[in-house]
Amino acid sequence: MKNKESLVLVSSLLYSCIVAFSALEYIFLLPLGIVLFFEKEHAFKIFKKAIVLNIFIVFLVLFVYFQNPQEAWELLIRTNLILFYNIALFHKSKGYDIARGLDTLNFNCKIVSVFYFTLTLINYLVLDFKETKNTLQSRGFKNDTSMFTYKTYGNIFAMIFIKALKKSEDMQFSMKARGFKNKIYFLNSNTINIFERILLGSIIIIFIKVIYELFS
Amino acid sequence: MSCSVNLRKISYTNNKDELLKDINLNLGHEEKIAIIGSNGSGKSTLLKIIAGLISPCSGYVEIFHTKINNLKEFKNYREDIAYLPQDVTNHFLCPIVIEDVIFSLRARGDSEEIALQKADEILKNLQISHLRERIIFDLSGGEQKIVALAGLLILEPRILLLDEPTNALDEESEKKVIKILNSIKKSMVIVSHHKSFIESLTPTIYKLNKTVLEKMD
Repeated sequence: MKNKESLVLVSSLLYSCIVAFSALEYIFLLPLGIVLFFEKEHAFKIFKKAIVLNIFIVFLVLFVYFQNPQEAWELLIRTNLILFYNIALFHKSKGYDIARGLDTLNFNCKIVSVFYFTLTLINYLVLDFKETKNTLQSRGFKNDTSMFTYKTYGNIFAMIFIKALKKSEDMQFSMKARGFKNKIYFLNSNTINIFERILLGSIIIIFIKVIYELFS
Repeated sequence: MSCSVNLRKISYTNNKDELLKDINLNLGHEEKIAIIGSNGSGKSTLLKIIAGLISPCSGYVEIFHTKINNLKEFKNYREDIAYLPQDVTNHFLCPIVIEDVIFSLRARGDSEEIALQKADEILKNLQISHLRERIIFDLSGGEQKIVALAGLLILEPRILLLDEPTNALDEESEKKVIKILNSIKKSMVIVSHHKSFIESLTPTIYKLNKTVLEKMD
């Protein structure tokens, strides 16, 4: 399912803020349930990702638990609600739709371009690193704590860094040749699908409830 | 024959290595010329000089009989000169095929509707309409090359500069690129070290050998 990026970004921000800054309520499960229902085919992938990230959270919660168990539980629930919600929303995203979302939300074109090209370069760096790791394996390199290992990794990072510089220089040439003026032109669809309508509805309900309780 | 590009005594030195020395070259209207040479011989550098991306150390470039004194003056000819880099991934400035193809038109100020109309026509001509909504970085090398070509051709440039257009392509993709390039009636400089590919495009072949450009018979 292809979602409207700006809407997904806003709902993510709103939900994360509401869960982080207001008293915990069962209704917070509603948007999460909706997203998980629409993404049920990928539920296993989402849970796997969330569990991996939970390793870090559990450590944090453990430290808090010895001082204030109540706060520790709250911390665990809040972080997991936000984590599950965002992973479920963005698990298929390659990041480019976030740039598209920022563009739709009328962020400054320079910010959108910087975000997009940073993302592109990070993708290239990751690919480069993966390829280099494969090369190391195929050339019989074994990780250990010897000076040779550290030197090898030092060289690899230096080479990847130099490649990234070269790549950005070449991209700059392309920008010049293609008449780039700080702006990327995204094509944005104006249609909102059923999933987005329901999701937005649930977030608005929670938002109104929180605001009402704040002022009553 | 009227000339699209003239190079006059172009020299270029990179970190004390002399890459090009007193290069003269004339590219006629709708003429296709190819430059071959070994790795590191300066083919890509020469192409970048013609594209106005780097300045020569001495000598000058003439575009449509107008002498270009510095890189800023190339601005007037940006739409006339299309440059395809060796690593085609450097060419892409947008994530989706259709967005990247229309990029130059949008940057020029054309409306989205007109740009999309033109892009669809180009994609159809290049037989890649099925890639329209795909993420560029998920495409194969051959598909990326053709998408990049579409992005160049949409501006209807008068001069095409192609740096290793069949670099790392399989035989089928290479044939497709040859077919497309043969159907384009524009002034073209193609850089490659792939002689059989070059011969299928043009009989005018230059060899860049130890800083000197020689015409091959």
